[in-house]
Amino acid sequence: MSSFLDYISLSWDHVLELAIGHAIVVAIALFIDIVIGVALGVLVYRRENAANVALAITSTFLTIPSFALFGLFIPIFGLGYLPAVVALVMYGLLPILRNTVAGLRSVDPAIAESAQGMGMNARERLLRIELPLAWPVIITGVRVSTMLLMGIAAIAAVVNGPGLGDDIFAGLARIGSPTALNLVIGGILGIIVLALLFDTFFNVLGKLTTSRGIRD
Amino acid sequence: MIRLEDLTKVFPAQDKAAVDDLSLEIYEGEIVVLVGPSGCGKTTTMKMINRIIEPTSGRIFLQGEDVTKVNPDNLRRRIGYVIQQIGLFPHMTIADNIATVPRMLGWEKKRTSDRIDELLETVGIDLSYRDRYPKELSGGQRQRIGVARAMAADPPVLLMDEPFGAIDPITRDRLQDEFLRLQQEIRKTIVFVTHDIDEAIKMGDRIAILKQQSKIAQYDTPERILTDPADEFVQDFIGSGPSIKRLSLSRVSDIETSDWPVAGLTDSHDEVREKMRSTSRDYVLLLDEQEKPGRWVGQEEIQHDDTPLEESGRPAVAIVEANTNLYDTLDTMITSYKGSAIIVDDGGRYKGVVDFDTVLEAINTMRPHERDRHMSPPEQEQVQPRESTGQDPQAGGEGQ
Repeated sequence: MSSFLDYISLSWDHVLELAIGHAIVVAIALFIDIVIGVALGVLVYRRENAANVALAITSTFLTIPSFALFGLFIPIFGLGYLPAVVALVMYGLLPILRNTVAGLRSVDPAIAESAQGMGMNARERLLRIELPLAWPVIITGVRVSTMLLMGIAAIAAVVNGPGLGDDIFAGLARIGSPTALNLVIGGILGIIVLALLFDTFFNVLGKLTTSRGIRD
Repeated sequence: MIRLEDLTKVFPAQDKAAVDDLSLEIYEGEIVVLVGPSGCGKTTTMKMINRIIEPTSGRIFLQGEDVTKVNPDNLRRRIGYVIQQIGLFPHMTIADNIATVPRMLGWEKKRTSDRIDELLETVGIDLSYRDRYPKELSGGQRQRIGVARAMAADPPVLLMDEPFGAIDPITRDRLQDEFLRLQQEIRKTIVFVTHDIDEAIKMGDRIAILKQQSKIAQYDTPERILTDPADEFVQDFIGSGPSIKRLSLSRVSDIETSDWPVAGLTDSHDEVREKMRSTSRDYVLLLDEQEKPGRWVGQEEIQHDDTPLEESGRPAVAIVEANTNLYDTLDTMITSYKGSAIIVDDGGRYKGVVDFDTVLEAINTMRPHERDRHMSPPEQEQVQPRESTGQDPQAGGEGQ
């Protein structure tokens, strides 16, 4: 234990640097996921077949072992940020897409009908009624994706991607040597702290952007 | 105001039309109730007026304009729409809910805000509720806001689909009364769908009784439907006691009251006895200082000079307001001691007394059409004995 604390007091700037890289790559992937996921959700939520196809494809992404996917991307995207971001986008899509579809579909039909009966066109209904009401569910999807991506981003180390995975893999490669364990634990703890920070951020953001009328 | 011409709706999965060739005209300022058994197409018909459901064929005219093919969103901004589950937007405040259509139409802030206040007052909701959310309101309050929201942009037409259906009977009764009072002021053209014939009778200026596929069985005023049903379907739909139901359309203030002696609780026993002697009645009604009914005191009881008047006889409990309908009045009279009801004004002050004789008299004057219709020699015998039976106003239905 004391050796870990010594390690941290010596190398905190190194860990911090990796953590920032980790945070950035997850944030970029999340942003792209939100854009694609919500847009796709809006397009397919009313169409049973299209929705099923989209959900099936994004589910399949999640089942591909991350190690393998990152490896397969090397000849296509090379090393570094690009393959990492592409892979993370693929993994983070399902929760957001699924929750967008579920959220939009869960809007009470009576509400949608009275909005239509008042003369709101489809665009107005989507923007002013359905999305705001689906928002809490969508945010929950974002939080789930965040947790997923935090962990998977560690694997990006195999493509020389950014993030705390670097330390974890380095440590695992040298397991047995004195500093190895500290590297791994440092990496894991860093990921956990980042995950909590991101989750808290989205939690607060969700509460602030959700109308008081639908917050429980 | 609204004219439906050969309106038909066939849903893709079905081989029979939900609405088959319906033609109907609704005049300005009247409440027309579409009523019929489940599945008859009444809601579908109403939803075709604002084209939530698009007709398969036929035409819709609003204020003389053919609106069958116009832009539906624009059309709907001219028509108020209230549905059973209300559908208030939970993520918006009450004020924002009401302001929905005005904002879509581009009203300035001040005009919208004033309109919100005006509407809240009209539907009887305190102005402090402006910034509350729907989840903080009771069912009855939400329904009022639903009506306010539909009227926000002052549309000439309101469509209401079982608006009071999801509410408890007590609140529903009150809301119906308030709505009728409101309609006296605003005189909108209203199309009202319900499956409840009693609600139709109460609310409608005219009622369209619809059969399957929205075929019109009868389209007329409640009075004429009750006294002159077009066929067996209508009779069955009205249900039992149509003549009793007819009573709910008249007010107790419409009929003549009978002659009962009245005295004051503060009078002396002699004065009360004098009053009683001057009429042929054996009971006197004693009023308090505000002229409100107090107690019934009888021939026997008034002889006991030592019993103060406040304790003599029985308290007067069968009391109805002047605008109560005859059906409710009869109900009150049945529970009273002497088979009579005391009429008071809206301040609770005595106006008169009705008893079974006066109500029977009123019923008889209501039924001349029915009597004439059945005036053929063999049935004439049936009519006579019933009239002399006296106390029983139960119509039972002649020739049914």
